[in-house]
Amino acid sequence: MKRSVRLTIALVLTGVLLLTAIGVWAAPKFQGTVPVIPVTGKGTCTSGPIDMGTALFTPQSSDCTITVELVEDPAGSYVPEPEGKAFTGDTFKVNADPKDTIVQVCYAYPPEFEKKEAKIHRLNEEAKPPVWVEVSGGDIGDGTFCVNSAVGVFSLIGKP
Amino acid sequence: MVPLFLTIILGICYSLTIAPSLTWAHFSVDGGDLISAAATGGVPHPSGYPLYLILARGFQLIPVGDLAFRTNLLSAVCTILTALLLNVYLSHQLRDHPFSQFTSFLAAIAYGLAPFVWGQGLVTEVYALHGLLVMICLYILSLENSNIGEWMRGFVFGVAATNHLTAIMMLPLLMLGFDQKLFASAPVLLKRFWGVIAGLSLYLSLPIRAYFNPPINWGDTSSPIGFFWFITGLIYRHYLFSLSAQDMVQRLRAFGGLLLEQYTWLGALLGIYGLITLPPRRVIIPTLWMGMVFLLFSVFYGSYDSQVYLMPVWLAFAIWLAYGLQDLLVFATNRFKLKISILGFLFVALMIRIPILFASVDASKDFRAHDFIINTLKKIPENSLVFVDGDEQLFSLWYAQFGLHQRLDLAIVAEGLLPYKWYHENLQNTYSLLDVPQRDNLNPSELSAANPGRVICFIPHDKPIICPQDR
Repeated sequence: MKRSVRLTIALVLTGVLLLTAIGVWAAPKFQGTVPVIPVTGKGTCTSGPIDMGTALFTPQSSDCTITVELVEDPAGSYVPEPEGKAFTGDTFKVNADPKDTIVQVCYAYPPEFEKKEAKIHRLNEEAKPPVWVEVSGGDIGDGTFCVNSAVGVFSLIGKP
Repeated sequence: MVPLFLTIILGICYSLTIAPSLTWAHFSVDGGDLISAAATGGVPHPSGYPLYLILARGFQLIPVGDLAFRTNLLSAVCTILTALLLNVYLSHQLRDHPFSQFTSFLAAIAYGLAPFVWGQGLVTEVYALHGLLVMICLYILSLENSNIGEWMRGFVFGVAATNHLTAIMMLPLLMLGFDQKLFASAPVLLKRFWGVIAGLSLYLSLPIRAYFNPPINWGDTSSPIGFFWFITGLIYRHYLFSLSAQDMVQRLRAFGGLLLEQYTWLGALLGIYGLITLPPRRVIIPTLWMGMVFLLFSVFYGSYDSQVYLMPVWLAFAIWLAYGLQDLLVFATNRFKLKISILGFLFVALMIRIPILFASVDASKDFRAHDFIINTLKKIPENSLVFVDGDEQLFSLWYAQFGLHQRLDLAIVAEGLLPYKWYHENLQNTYSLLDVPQRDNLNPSELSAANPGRVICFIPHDKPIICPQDR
């Protein structure tokens, strides 16, 4: 093949490369060196905190069973966030037996959450319609925000 | 003079940008695992990297900087050696052509300054050594009519696979013959086969290391089934072909972007031209094979950082670049007599890349891992049971505890490894005061309940540490 033909082909291919190249390497889910195990979200009052990744749930009673589920779409599954606010962190549904079990809810609270004045809210399902209510008595320290509350549906809600 | 010049240029660049300690830069999140395993005679994550561990331990004995810095040095040395060997290889292959010395030099410099290659020369990871071993394999395959025995050729390929398992994809190249024959004869293949087996036997050092119950001790390499599971990387088997077709196409397009990033549009043009120029069979077959298999592997393997497997592709491309440059140089200097100008322009263009790339590759100011260790260990209460989710976080804490002997009161637990029984044994051996329940699938709650005297802390991936106040 003549040199000029080869050079033309190379120029065309380089042009195609320049037009089609993108900068992001597809990595749809985090698959690293240590395997990622699905979160079970089940425990008892004596088994210690339940780690849901972005929040910990620690039952405060001496005898109970507890389950925690991640809620993917809190606005769709329950009700939207209060007006002028936004869901800042994950939403979790906490069930326990007995139902009056008190649970300590601790969210990871990085500086960006603090800037948004995010607070832990619990869904008041008895209200018609249900409404998100801030849980009082929150304790912020060392990158965590903790509250004690009866079980229910919890979310971190702050400024948009 | 050329090797000296090459060493000086790359040596200065790497010494100014090398990470001073443990770092997460340039996909080196596994660094803590590798450094700690090398330092403690341990077994890191699959497939174990036995050759890397031996070499890393040697570098860790050099009395300069901290443990991580010494291990980073291994990568810098490997990358410079790869560029030097690339220069030697190309000089030999192009020896009948004018300007071959300069073409080889430019291609080697271009390789050494390719951002990914440069970055791998600054951190603790296995890919700099992987590049060197692949280059050695290419070089040894090119030595026709030499005193290198066929067994030795196989041995080198086998040893290459004891650093990174993907080097096994180079083995089919051992079928190539010399003296105008495409394939080697059966007796030659047999000698090479036994050489490969001898090289791979370095993997047998892993069960020996595991026998002494080191703190980093992945897998159950003491049993034949466990050993096979470990060295074949079966723990990651579901990563292969785990992407959708759309994501794989995106990766192919991203490869184009990475190619432009490594060699610029001019280098890409020269490399593509060099490939079309069809180098001799003894060059085109190995490099094309290398380019294809490692590219396909990086596309099909679903780990988030699989672009690291492209190191041999960048090596192949540097070789094609040399052939393209060689051909065009001869053409240009014959027609335009611009010999000195063109050569000088190309060299200056490469040198100008250095300050342009400097900020993006510089790992000397990346203190994320260092800061994470300091801040986290300051916060964790004494005697805590710490559950960690995330490679960066876990391996950094392993480095702090097993490499630097800090906070030996803590029990650091990898949440993702709790489903494995071999890990329960490892925990019990490492933390003798920890009560590890005997059951198949342990979860953090059960381990916490079995150790009521300990404060429990969680370090989620990319999130702050959580230590609940009351239990």
